[in-house]
Amino acid sequence: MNEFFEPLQVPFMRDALLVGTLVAAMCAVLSCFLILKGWSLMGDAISHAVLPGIVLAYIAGLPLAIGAFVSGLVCAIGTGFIKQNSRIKEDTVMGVVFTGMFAVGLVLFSRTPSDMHLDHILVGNILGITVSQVWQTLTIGGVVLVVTLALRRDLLLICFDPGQARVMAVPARFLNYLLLSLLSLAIVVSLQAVGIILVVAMLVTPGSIGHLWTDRFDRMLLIAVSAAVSSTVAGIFISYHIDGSTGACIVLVQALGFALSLIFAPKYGMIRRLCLKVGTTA
Amino acid sequence: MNEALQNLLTPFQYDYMLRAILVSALIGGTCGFLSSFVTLKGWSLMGDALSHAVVPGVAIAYILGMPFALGAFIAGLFAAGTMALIKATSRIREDATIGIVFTAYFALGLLLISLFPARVDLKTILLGNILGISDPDILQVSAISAVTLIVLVMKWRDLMLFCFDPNQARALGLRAGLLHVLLLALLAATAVAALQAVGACLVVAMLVTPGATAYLLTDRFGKMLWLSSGMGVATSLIGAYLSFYFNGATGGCIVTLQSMVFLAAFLFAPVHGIIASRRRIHLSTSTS
Repeated sequence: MNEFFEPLQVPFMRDALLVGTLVAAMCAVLSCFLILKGWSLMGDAISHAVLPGIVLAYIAGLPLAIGAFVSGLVCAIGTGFIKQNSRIKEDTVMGVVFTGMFAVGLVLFSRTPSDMHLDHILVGNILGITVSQVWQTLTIGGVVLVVTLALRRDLLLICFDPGQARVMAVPARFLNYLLLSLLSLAIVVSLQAVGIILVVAMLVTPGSIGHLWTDRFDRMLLIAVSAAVSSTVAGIFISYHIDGSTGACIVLVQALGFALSLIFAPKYGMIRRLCLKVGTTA
Repeated sequence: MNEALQNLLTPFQYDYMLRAILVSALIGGTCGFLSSFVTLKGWSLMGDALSHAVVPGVAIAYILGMPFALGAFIAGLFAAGTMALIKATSRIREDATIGIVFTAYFALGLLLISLFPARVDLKTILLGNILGISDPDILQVSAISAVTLIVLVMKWRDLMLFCFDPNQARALGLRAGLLHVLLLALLAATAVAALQAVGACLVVAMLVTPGATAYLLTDRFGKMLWLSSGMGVATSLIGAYLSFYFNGATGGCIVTLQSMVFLAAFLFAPVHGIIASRRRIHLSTSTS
């Protein structure tokens, strides 16, 4: 058993666990809103679209997080604009915009001499996180987490029932943009941990697990956060012992959690559904 | 002047550049053709998902020394099956299901690559490496493209009807279920081919952008097919050529070009472009 906990004695593993836990909790909270609103793929789109912002910020000597954030917002707003002004379906527009931005990022990157590793941006590098990045993650992540939790009633309303939200004079437009900004910030923070491609897992899977277990939103939040945090910790430990990609291990443990919930969840799991079906036909 | 021309012709002096340009054009044309169906059916995200989900198949195939296309194709079909299973048996929405499944498959591929780093190159899979494509891989890509094109040319009317109106297709005696599986298989196959050219991250652009652009330019499906395949061929040709000057970022160049063409169509398309429709609104308000 001591051998299993050996990673705790290594400083970079402790940093990884700290950052991983916070990122997991933050993404899990957001994921509950996203899957109710049907924005699962918005996370995918924004995460790819941050690439040109990162490269441009690097060229300009600005903090990479700012470039990434702006670029993510441009993607979200650009998608909305093109969708409103053309006859193309939203998911297609999203695909066109985020791949276009990602491609521009790649082209810019190819002409920029730098010591950045593209691999680290794409698939994350949580074990190589620096002290300043730890602080940045903890600050931004903490803010996102606190704001989302503080405004969860209002955000929930615009996700569940936009019509009702308007009747109750909730500033729906503002809240939509706020949710988009929180999402962009969360993605920027998570890039270091799991990378562009797997962020979307952190933003979709925990909420879906919660959704399978309960109908009450507060419980869903709790379940999503615990599922995400425990799979992140387990994933980091496993990746240390098998010497495999950390982001991949985290996402796979989470996917396993989803598969188990899919089968065994008390109310909406497969087994329960089968029992109900047998019960009604008998 | 002469020197400038010389510079522009340099890429053609290299064998690998010529091959890359031709193979890209073939892949671009095939993807462009299919993209009309994908945009019509609203399967953009399916394309994105499949292109990531084939990664474990590619990794296993390379590790075992098998043809990559086979592994990728099987992984893609498995992923599509998993999505269908989850959709049928749970309350999770379709877009969330797609997100969960493709990230899980991709993570599996990533884990395999990180465990066997010598056998597979992560960058090749993520970003493509058409400039360094090997002969067996060219053979596989050409075979996939040829089969896909033949099937599409033979079945395009049935598939079009299925994409526009599945119920009507069923009423006319077409087997909608079969067409659904056929289109999915074609999508998986082209995703595998495009993976070589532009990499997992940008496959979806090849499968969506030409179709979306053509949709802005015409109302007739036959014409849309020509436009989207033509655009796929042209952008891939030029993009592969340009990537000589951009440090080999072939995928980035091809897709950047495609996005620029899309943007131009979005602004200037004769009927459905934003300028034309604004002018129409302006005219109708000023005359009334």
